[in-house]
Amino acid sequence: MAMLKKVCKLCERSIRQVNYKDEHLLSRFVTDRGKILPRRATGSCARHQRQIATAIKRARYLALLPYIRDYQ
Amino acid sequence: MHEYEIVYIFRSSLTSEEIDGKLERFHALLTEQTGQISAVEHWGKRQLAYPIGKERNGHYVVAQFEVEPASLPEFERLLKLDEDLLRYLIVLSEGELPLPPSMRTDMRTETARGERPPESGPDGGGEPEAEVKSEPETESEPETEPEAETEPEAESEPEPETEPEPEPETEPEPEEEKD
Repeated sequence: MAMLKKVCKLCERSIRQVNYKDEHLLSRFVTDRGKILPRRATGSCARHQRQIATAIKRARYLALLPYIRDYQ
Repeated sequence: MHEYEIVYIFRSSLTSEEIDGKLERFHALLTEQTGQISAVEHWGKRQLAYPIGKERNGHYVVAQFEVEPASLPEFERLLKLDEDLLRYLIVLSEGELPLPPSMRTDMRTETARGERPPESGPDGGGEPEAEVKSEPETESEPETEPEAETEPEAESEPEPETEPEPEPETEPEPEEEKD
């Protein structure tokens, strides 16, 4: 919670639109179990967080990302 | 007319000829009237993140096309009838070209470095991984400090590229203001 104020990583890289096909980029915004990380953990800005969430959900549907990872 | 993007996941047991044949049949329906296929990108065989049915692998194809929205329901009906098409996703195109198959990791770093070499290079390497994997608050503090020190160094380096802006930091700022 008490993390340092971070600048949005995607803004830093000037990524305008998050692509749902880029699962390597998206995998940074999920936990090791595959849950979407909250903004307080990643420091994403509001617009990019919305894009990330949508993109991750699309990527999950396309089996690019798991819904749950390592579930036994 | 709207521009759409579709991702197909075909059963991996299909041959590439069979897939091409199916794509031709699907796209014929789109181009029949006023539609237009602008790009087709084959990702090839890929492991699925989770099994779909009994399939563990899928053959991915991405295509972009421009078509009247009214013709989509019929197109989707045709797709759903195909048993060998494990899954598909149609979204409004975001104007980007489909990413090449397995080059995606390299693509990402290349584009990041190509656009803004001094800043995104060190940031893209070490910082994000540490954030995702471990979230110890004690570690993150010292991490950011040396980073802040390295940034001015990177900025002061004269870039061989023809960038008219002396400070690369001016780019991200307007975006933040919009939000």
